[in-house]
Amino acid sequence: MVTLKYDYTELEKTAKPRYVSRTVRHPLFGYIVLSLVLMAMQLLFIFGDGIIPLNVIQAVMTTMIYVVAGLGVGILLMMAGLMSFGTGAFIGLGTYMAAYVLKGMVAPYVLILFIVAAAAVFIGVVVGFISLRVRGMHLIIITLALATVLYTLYYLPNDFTGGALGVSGVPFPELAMVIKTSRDTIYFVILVVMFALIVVTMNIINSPMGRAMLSMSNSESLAQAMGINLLKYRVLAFVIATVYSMLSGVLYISYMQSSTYSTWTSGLAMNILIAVILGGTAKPAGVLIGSFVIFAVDYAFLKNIEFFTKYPQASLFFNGIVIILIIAKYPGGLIRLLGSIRNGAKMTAAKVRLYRYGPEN
Amino acid sequence: MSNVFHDIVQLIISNFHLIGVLALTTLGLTLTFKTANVANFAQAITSTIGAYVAGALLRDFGFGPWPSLFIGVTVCFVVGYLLDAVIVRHVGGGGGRIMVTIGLIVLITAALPLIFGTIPYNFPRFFKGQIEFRMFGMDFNVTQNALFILLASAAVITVIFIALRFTKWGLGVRGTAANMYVASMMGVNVNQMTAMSWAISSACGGLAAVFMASQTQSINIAMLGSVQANSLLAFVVGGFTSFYGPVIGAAIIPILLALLAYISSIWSSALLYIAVMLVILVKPSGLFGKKTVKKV
Repeated sequence: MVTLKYDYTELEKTAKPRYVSRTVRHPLFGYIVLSLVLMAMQLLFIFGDGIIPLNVIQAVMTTMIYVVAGLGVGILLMMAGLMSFGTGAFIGLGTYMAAYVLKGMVAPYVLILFIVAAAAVFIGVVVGFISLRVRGMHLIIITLALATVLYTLYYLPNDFTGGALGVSGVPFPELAMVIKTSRDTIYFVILVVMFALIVVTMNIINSPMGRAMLSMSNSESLAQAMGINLLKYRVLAFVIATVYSMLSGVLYISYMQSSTYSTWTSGLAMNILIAVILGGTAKPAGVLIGSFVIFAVDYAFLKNIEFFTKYPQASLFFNGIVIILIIAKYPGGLIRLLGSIRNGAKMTAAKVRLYRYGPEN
Repeated sequence: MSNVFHDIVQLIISNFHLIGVLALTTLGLTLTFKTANVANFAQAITSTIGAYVAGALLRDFGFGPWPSLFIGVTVCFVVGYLLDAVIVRHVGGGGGRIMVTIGLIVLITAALPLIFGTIPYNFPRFFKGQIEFRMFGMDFNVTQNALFILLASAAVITVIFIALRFTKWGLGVRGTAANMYVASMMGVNVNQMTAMSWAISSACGGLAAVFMASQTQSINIAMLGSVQANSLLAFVVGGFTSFYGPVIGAAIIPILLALLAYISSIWSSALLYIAVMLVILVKPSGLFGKKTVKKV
């Protein structure tokens, strides 16, 4: 029997033009494709007349809003190694500030984002300085303390947060003073903001700042010995996380139009933390997948199955099982799990090739 | 003035059961933290299992309160052991373990209503009477049940401390807490010690949950929510370098909470957190903790 000897790797090189490969390998390629798919989904929802159900769109929207906060938490937790339970309260602060601006005056959306981000920088610096001396368990308690104080402030009757009733009836924002948004078009605004923040996050991760944070989380003493200013990067990590959280709050209020104090608990912060840990990395891909599992799967898909409408607790139950299994079995998170599945597929393909064509040399 | 004093003291006395419950939960938290190196966020919700089991035995199977208490605590003991043996032991790293306990919160919060239904259970008080007494020339009153809870918790905690100090198990736990690797080199079965600590801490929690249920006379999913938060505070305020520090912290927290609630009921929990925050910032090792020096 004649065995064919053929260099398949050479064949693949010649078969695929180089420029395709380079486009696909661009770090942002996946995110651009995802954004286009999400955009197409919303267009189908608006013009498609019921092809895409409303609850799917709502679930995707909620996920996009919390992904923004999750990106900040990802940098804080996965890069700088600091665990914060104050995220929920900061998202709430963002919603209240945005509601105040939106109700009071006609301002372009970008301006609102900048105002809130500026306030967030200030708050992040304060939080960073408060928590400078502590880490681990103590840091958790301090962030919980801040969250509780903010929660109480939201609850107290006042004009800013509306007390126990919350703020409602906030108008949709206007883009650049002329274009009015509606419930349908605000989706695209949120998508654009999310995409922009994904790009920013990827740059932060690869920048010297990101590397400094990573070294700080591995060993503070070692990082200090290498000349990294701990104070600076700790405060910076908190500033980044707070800015992301409060921007997420702006997105929330511009979609939901209302905000109540009871949403902004440490439970929400816990959910976002779980989403980030499930993703397993500070990279946006991980945060996206984790947030999708935590915030969207239940509402978008499981609600349509009869078993889950009969027992609403069951979906939470399976969520818990997924969380525990992933953390226990795949500390690298869902990203790593997907990677192993891909590697397994590659190995299987190689084995099939080996079986069909024999050894390659 | 004396009126204010009377009100505050009365508030503290009526929170006696809270001191007992909190001390038990905090001791459990400390045991798991020292051996398994994880702040167990699921402590309260695991304990709630015990309360639910006791409530179900009482209502559906016709058991008395005392056997229900005993079986509930035993179930908690087994659940705690299994949690460590099946899940927590196989998770590496402190952050991952904390997240696993948060996952457990999600899991158990969803599982309990699935198993036991959503209707809240009732639980009777162990002792129904009321004690009235005079102190400083003023009248105070306390329920017998609250007093019983305080005394029983104190007894259980004393037994555990004696066991920690004088038994072979206690020596093993202290060794594991000091240094896991050296302890295992010296022939201590570290896994066994950790699992037993989980079991005992979970049993303590179960006892606390049933006590709480008997005082409030109802069992629901959120019954120990504030206890979990306060026990974390007590744990940090007391300082977790020792076993006794957190327990003293647990005695302080309800008294402080009563004082703060007298000042402002809305702000009490926020003020408590601020007080704890100040303690942490001034003395990170806690009120009764020793300062540890980390080697590079």
